[in-house]
Amino acid sequence: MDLNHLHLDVDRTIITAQPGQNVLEACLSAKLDLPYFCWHPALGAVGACRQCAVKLFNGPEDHTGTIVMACMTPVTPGMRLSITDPATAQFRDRVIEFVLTNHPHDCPVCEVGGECHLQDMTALVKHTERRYRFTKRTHLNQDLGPFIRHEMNRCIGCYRCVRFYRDYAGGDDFGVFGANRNIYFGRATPSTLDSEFAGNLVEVCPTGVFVDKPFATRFRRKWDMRATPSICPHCAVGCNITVQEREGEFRRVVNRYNAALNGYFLCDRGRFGVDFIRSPARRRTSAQRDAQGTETPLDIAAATAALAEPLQTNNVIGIGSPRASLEANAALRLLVGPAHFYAGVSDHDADIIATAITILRDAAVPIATPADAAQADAVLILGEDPSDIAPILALSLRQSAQRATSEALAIRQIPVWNDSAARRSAAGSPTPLIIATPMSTRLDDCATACLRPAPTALLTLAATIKAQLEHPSAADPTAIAAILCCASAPVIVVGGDSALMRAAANIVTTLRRIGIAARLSILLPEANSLGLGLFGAPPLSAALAAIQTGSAPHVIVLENDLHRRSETGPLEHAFSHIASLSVLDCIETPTTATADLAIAVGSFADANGTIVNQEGRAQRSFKAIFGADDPAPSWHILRNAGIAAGRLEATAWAGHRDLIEAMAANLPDLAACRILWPHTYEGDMQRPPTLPHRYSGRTAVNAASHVREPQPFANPDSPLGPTMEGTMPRTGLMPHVWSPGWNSVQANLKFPSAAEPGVMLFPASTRIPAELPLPHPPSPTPGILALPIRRVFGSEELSNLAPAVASRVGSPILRLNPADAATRGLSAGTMVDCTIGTTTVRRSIALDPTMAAGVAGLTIGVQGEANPPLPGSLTITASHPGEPS
Amino acid sequence: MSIVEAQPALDPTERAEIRNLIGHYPTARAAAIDALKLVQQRRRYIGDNLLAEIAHLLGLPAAELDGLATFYNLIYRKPVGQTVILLCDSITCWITGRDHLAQHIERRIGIKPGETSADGRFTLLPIVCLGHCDHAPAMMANDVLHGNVDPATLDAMFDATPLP
Amino acid sequence: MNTAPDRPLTRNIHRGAPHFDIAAYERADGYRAVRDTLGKTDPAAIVHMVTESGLTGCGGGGFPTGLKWQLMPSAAQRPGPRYFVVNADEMEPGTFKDRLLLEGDPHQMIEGIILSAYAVEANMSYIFIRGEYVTAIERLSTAIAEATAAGLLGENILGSGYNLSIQVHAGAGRYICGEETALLNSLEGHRAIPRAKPPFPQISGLWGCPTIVNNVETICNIPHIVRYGAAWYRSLGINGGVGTKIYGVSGRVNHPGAFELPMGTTLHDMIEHHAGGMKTGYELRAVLPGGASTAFLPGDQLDVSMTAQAMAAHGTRLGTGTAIVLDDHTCPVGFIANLQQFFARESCGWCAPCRDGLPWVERILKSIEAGTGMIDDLDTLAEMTGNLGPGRTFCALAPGAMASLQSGLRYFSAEFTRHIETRACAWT
Repeated sequence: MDLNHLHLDVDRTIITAQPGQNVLEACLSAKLDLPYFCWHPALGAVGACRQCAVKLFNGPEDHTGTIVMACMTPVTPGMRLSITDPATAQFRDRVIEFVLTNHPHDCPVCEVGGECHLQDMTALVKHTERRYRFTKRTHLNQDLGPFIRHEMNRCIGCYRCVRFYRDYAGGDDFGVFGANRNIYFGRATPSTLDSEFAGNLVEVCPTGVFVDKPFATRFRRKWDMRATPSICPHCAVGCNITVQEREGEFRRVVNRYNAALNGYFLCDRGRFGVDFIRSPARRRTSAQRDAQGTETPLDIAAATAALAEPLQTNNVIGIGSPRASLEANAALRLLVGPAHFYAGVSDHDADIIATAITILRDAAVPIATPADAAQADAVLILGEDPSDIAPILALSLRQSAQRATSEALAIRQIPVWNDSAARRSAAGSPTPLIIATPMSTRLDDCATACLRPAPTALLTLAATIKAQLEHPSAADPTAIAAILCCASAPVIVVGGDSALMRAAANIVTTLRRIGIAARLSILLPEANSLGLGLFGAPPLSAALAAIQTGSAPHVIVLENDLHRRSETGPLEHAFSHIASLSVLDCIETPTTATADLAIAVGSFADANGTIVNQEGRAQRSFKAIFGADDPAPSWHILRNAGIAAGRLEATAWAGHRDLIEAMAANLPDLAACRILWPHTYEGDMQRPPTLPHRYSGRTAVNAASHVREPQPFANPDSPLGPTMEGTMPRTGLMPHVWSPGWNSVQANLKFPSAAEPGVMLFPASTRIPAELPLPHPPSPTPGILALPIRRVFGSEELSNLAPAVASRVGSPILRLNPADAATRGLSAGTMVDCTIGTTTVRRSIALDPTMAAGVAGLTIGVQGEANPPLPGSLTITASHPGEPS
Repeated sequence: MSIVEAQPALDPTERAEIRNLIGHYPTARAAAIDALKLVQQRRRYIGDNLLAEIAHLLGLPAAELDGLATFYNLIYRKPVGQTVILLCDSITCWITGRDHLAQHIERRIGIKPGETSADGRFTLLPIVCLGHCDHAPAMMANDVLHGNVDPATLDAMFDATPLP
Repeated sequence: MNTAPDRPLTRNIHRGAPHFDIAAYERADGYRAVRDTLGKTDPAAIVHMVTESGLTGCGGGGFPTGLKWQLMPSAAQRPGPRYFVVNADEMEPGTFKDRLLLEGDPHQMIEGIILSAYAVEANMSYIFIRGEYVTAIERLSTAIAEATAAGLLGENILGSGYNLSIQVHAGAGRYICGEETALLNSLEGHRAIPRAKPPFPQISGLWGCPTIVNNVETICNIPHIVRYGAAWYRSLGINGGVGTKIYGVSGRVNHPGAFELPMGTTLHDMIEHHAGGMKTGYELRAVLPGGASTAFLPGDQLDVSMTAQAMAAHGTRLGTGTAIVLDDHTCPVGFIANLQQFFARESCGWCAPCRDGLPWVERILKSIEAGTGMIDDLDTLAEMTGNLGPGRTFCALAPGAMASLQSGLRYFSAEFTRHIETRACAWT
């Protein structure tokens, strides 16, 4: 790249730019301050707001120059520009003045005051005087649902919202209406925004038109909130987030830029799901329950002592969790011993996770990040819809599918950043996106081909593609192999079935063998599924079997609701044989409700912890909430109980790092976790400050009780400092993205390389991956084969507890092919009882005309419901209203 | 928010005509304006339910079609009168007295620009230059162009238009 | 009828007489150029001939037509669909020349389209016409049907191997649709927002395909240039002009109307001799020579020939060539306020200065007209003319709006000041 860079003269200063950039990108990358509104690094340039005007001189003899829009002007070698030119500066000032003619100047009561891009840009151009003396245009707002509040009068007409929501994220229920100054951005009729990416409007809008609604109810100014880098706990993508709090109370989540993963965006499950930590279902106190079911509250010392009791026996087993951190799982495993530690996932999930580890670690198949997926020049999705399982990955895949091919851009000489022109070019020659799934997906609208094979046919299809790649003369009825062969960086996305995952890995391997840099993306169910899998522990069914064959063991369950993992019958049967059940969890679940000892522990936001995403990327989050009675993290309680029980030495795991060392010593796969932010563990005074430098009211907050400067919270295991003092790093560990004059999230642009990629546990290798043996094809399922449907809202345990997310959960469905429904006399909306194994759940029928015959989709993860064992053979019976299923 | 009653759904003829219009273009969306105008010709205006139906036929989200319908001057999203008076307010007609005509309309039938008469006979809308400047002031009333409009022209129209 | 006409565009248009159907048009030597050319003349030769003729766009921009066509890659270079689009969205206030051509001689335009589309190797043509032109839409549709029945449109036209379909697309009203890239967006079924250039329509036009957009009057010239040659066409003009032009005048003149005159005719000549001079009791104060987007020419500068060059030398533009007369009974401030009201309302809403700046200009002018203006307003207005000027906004709409304001502030500064100082308008 460096060999290709070119130089621009901006006000007699030479800056470096990359070929293919526009002048605005080049100036911002060079840390020059140039205001803009309609441009966005992920959305490209459209030239609408006219704010980034610069003077362009045509050669050394030109002293007059021409005003051009930096965002629409490609960089050329030796180009001479001026930002400070007085006429140009005056024009930029006037553009601000124009957009402010209709802006309400309600900054003091506006939620984005203090982090408003419009404020920043106004200050940047030094615009201070208001001359417009006529009436402003006003609008009615719309009720856009539980996530977003609408304040249209603040709109400055930059069009970013519609460009993000509709053009980038593929949402179809939001648009721009009207013309001239009477333009309106919203829905055709007021109602909840459908897109699961709607929350990004809060950050995409340069001012306060779209407001984070739950946050507005517990609003604090940005500069008054502690901010801590964290990792989203709501799916296996591991998006980077920043958690903000004040007065010990969670306030909101904002995006934390990570080039490889989420870039500038989050899904709404991530943004609004973290509210679960404030939900009524949050377990705040520990308790012991006697035989009659009477609960006795315990303080943490008593709870720890109670937990030590089973640990004093030699008959204790531990059940870990894919939503608990590596540290918590490691602590339990170390305490009970590897032979007594179980993974706490269903057999099906265990199979998927183990297969993922085989593919990643043993076969070393190159893995696609979401960023790779966005840049893919062909995509094949096999098995599952990423839209509901890994929304941000789906958003990236959409970018690939919506992008014009490089040939289409080249013949029209359109730079990639010229957004409108590039999108128009994409219409005639889209990037291939082939979806082969048993059910319709929410990426079908941008796919070039959709196939709906049943699972067995899907396996055959995958094998056929591989055979065609190996023997180009073989029949290729779907032409998928031919499309993959024409690509240079194709991505295969797979999930839902271990045999299919192996087959998909083999397609990547075959493509690699013929010189195509293919990558694989594996969909996994939960935030730390892969991390838990790396402990190599047997699944929950093995624990239940061990309980029944053993002699009434004590069971310790770590942050896991086992009712979501197993059918009720076997679970209750096994648990009727145990000596005691101790459950550590941050939320109330059916499992904690039956525990003899329920211990309240910290959530992901109360503790430092490491999780491993579906790519094998270990990432660490830090204690973000500092309240008066914070629950301790699970591992810490386990440690203290272990010491009390004599299982650990009194000095064991004195700090987080010691536990990581102990874990790494036992599990070489996890050894790389040691290097996550190691340099900042030393209690260094220069730790990055989590309080903004304008943080106010440190003494006033507690003035009702005392007026002392409060003691900073100790957080010795964190690389982050608890106060306003410290040095801001230029990495993803940056708690606040801020630069002088840049108070909004747009300050990200000042740190274009600011990404903390975590650590890849299975680094990419250049060798051709190993081919994986395929299992024998499964015997056909009698009747209808039910497959799980996971939904963005409603299928993930923790986010379900966030009130705003809970209000978005639709009624659970059974999705059927219309023919299959008709033969059973079922129509859309009919309520039926669905029995799989011994579990029966009630569902409303939804028809999917594209769906493979003989296959059904069943919503899983429903709050308060035992998950049926899927995939499995389904029996449908008419349900009788009013009767519990 | 709408207090307007839903209009009757598209009939089979209208649906067939819209499908036919779609066949005229490489993409269905290009027929959007034609389809809106076709329906409006018969229904006078495009209410929310008709908009949604047309959008469905075009394979467009309702928000997209409404983005078009509200952008263009000649698509009416609210009920209009039996006769829509498009009174030019561009420069030549302004010079030649269109403001007096607007006042005359208000005196005679009590409506200002953007309003519909209580009896539902007339809606008055301003319109950009009708390209009839050599016969200014100009107006269009239900697709009929009138030049050299004077109060007498208007009176004749008011008197000749029966109640709906 | 083999003698070359000296008023080619309107030779078949006679006041009070019905317009020509295809039989009458063919009797008047119509479609001769098509019959002589299709399959016989290389498309590139037509492009060359049009370039040589010096024909420039008559929609207001004045871009050389031949050069525009040359920028279209050949069908060999860019295989796939190619489009020829007619801009019949005449909506510039004070402009009524295209209506005359569309209603008066629809076959002339069909013939122009066939030749133009053949020249740029397009097989599909759309006529984007404003929805209000009901009569023109009807006549064009009939003319297309007649031409199709006569084998002049459709597959393998006249055995030449060349195919062409024409479709009439009636718009739903927005001045910005007259901007060629906004027109393309509108035709595709999008909001009529102009597109950034580059890429130009020749490279990425309708549905991203190579596309030419030409104005009605421009296209109507093509059959005559092809029939009688570039040299003949050039010879029609006077005073440095090329060909003929449909000029027009409206306002308080005796005979407002459109007149086909040699390009280069003076404004004075047109107003005094063709439009019959000012009505009794009215004095001419100034003229917008080419529609609402052009700058005022004061009454003492009318002896200027109406060519792009001469108009530019007088600080204004030829525009559409249809003049609007400001008389002494009309308030200049109100006149400009009316123009700005038009532009503010017809702004598409895409770029900030136009969308939010023009309504401000309009409000200031209305305030001054109503006697509530402030002296600082004049500075604000003067500043606006720069900041809403060329290159500042996304398209030419706001710069066009500023032409009358900027020149008006210069020529009528006393009237502006008087309104503000007396807090009243002397004309009401």
